[in-house]
Amino acid sequence: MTNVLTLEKIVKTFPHHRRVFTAVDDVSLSIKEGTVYGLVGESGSGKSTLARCAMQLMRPTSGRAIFEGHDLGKLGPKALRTIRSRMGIVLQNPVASLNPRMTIGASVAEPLLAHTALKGQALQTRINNLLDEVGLGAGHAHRLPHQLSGGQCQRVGIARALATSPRLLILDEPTSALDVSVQAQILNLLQDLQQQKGLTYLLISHDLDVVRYLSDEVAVMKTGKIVESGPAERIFTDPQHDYTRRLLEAAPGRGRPELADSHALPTLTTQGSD
Amino acid sequence: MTHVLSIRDLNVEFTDRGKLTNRPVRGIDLDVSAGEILGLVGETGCGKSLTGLAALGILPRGARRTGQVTIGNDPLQDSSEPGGSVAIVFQNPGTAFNPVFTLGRQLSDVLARHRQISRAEGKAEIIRHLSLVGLPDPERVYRSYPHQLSGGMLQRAMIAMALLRQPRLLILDEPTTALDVTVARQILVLIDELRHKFGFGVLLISHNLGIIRDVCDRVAVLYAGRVIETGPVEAVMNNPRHPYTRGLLGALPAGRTHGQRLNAISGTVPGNLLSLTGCAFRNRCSHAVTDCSLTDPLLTETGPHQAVACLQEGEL
Amino acid sequence: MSPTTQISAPTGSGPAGEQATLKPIKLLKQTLGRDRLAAVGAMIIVLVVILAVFGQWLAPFPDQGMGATNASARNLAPNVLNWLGTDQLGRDVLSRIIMGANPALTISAVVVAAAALIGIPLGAVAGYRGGWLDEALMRVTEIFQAFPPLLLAMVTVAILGPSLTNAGIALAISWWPWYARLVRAEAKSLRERSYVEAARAMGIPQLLIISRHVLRNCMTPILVQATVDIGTVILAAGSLAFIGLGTQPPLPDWGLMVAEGRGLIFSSWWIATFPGLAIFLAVLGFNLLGDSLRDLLDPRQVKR
Repeated sequence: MTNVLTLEKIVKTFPHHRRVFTAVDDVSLSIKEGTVYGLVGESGSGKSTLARCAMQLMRPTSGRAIFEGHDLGKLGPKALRTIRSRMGIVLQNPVASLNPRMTIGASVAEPLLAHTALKGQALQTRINNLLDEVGLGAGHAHRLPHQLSGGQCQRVGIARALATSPRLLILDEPTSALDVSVQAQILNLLQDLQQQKGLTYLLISHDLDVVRYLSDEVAVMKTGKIVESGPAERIFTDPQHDYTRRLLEAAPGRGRPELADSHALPTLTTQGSD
Repeated sequence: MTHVLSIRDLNVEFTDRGKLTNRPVRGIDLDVSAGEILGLVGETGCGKSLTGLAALGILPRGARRTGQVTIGNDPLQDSSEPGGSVAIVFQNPGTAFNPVFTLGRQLSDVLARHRQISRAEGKAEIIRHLSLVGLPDPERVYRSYPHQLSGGMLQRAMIAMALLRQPRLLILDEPTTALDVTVARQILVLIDELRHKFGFGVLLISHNLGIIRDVCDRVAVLYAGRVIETGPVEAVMNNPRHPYTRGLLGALPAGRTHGQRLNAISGTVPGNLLSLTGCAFRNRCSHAVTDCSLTDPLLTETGPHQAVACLQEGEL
Repeated sequence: MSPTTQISAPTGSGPAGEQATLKPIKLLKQTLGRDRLAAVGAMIIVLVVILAVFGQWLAPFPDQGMGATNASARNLAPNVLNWLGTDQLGRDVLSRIIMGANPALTISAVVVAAAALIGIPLGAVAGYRGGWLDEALMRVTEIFQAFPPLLLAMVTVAILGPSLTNAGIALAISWWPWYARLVRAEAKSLRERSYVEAARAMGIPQLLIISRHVLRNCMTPILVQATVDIGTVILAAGSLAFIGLGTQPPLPDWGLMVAEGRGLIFSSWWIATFPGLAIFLAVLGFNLLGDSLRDLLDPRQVKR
């Protein structure tokens, strides 16, 4: 099985008040074709930054991102744009990820116009097919994002991401902004699509249940490093790292917190974030 | 057992220049006892936040409430300032505080409005409360500005601010949604401890079933402005009686892996609740019968402290 | 991030049919119906436009409007024949005001359009790309903005010679930095939006991103600014004419007429006052409409 995406020793730093903030600290991973790779961590863990480095939406400070055998850092702007048709992204806030002044149909058409020669009726047919595939009727094509619900907008986002038949789909907190029942619809959809089309997913989420549900492989990130990685089931049933265990214990729905549960008091940090 | 909060037939209506435009809360009955945590759970648009605001006596412009809200023994007066016996903690601690004043100053303002107390005593009282909510070095927090503290610490400070009002009822509206998982857990533990210590009742509003399960004693499930199921949390979570509650629990990915499809409830919440006849859930319910479109089911007791609003309840 | 807890009335997340999309005309009527000031502004503007287009047929004495003198009727107070009186050359004030609408409106529209056409692309590219391009633009606009606008216009006209056209050029030069900075600020903030990030991730070329995603979403502040600016430029052009740097006599120009009537303000007050009033009303009209335009142009038409 080939690796669709390989990240080698990615480091990403940002200048911060005369010092340097390391968001991603020497991360390496590989994603095999047709699998779902889940990246889980809390805020500040660097998972979103890593995903953006993987897509070259940010340039890593050092390290390489190799997609389908191409070193993305070495590609010129035009070649990089072309390669992007092989990747799709689905973002966290479904309504905000769509241009509020563009119709749904136009939003889905955008990547097609940029990367394919489709025009006129052929283009329209493709748009309608995509909308059907994600469970939205073609009749929605003329509507504006604010007229749709969050779940419907996320379906549009997925349709748009799939428009150019990409190999890899990057999903950044795809259901975090959605209600439980809507989340279930979208997760079902994502799973169906993945299985039908043999897609490869890079899933980023802070929600352990969602990651466990979709992923084959999982990596746990904390302050820029991967602390543990491996097959999803193993990580969740037999976590090795202390942080992974704490994360699993803290996940909601596990039961009543014991009064004896030592609530570790937070340390006071300036400009700290959780 | 005394009820710190008693809501009977609460309706919240929105009007636009005299005309009724929507009724997002349609006849809610609720009780919260002293020392108890009641979870109010539902998805977007179910009316849970409005219910919380109505219990405080504050509603957005254009909204009007009918029905009875009683805090302790006092019926709620309509006013722009919430009554002293109730305090609320909101979702986003980062935006709940004014960024240009120190925390100490903001808590002092709250204390000053609530009690006649000297500045020195007030400061001591605030420091005491800050340490009560588990903040180390409360003196420093007192002097800090909001941006200097993390989300979890700010949320603790918000709880401290709420406690300064010596409330009989504490309302928490999505208190942990903006926080990381590990921090959120600490906050829930804190709330649990505080209600045992001080004996106030808690109304916890959330869309997160996991949080409800972790910390609540009882739960009320809301759908389209109505309570459709209520009962002890373990009973409802393990053995849900209403088709919506079942659907909701079946939709959770918790503990499942791919290969098992999630039971996504088809359809969406009805948009206009004014023209609704019969049960609001019937269009999405696999057990609906003709009667469901004619009669709006009332909450009926199915066991000790348990009730369901469903015509098909006995059959399921 | 959680699903936003709606405190306002749910706007109806249901599928088609549950939510009525208000057509633009209906929305226009609704806004003008509700907002009386906007209606007043709109009426004034419509009046100015009618005068500008049909002036020569509406004016009672069109050749006097263009400058023909009438020595026998000098300095007449408002009367049945000359509703607003006559000036020191016997010309009907009303006619001159009516025929002054065309140059006033034309020059303002042209100036605003030119300023926008220059400033918007510069601001958009600089704001989106940042870096040295952005710094360069900021410094250049700062230089332009450091001069009082009228002073800059005066210098330009002094070099080019006084006329309405040259006044227009001068004003356009003074005005473009405001649009550049307005769009630059918008572009900078829009660059961070989710849908812009999605477009970049999809490999959309940068210029397309700027035009389709950035510019289209800052049209509202631009249009509002442009509407108000038309009024402001009418005033500025009038000011230039007032000091002799704009339209030259005998052509009709409201600012010029104020200048011409200035010496006789106490004896023949109508000569300067009515043109001044015309300028005031025109500016007011554009200001009022501009203020209300923002609501009109918001794609989210459903109000709470």
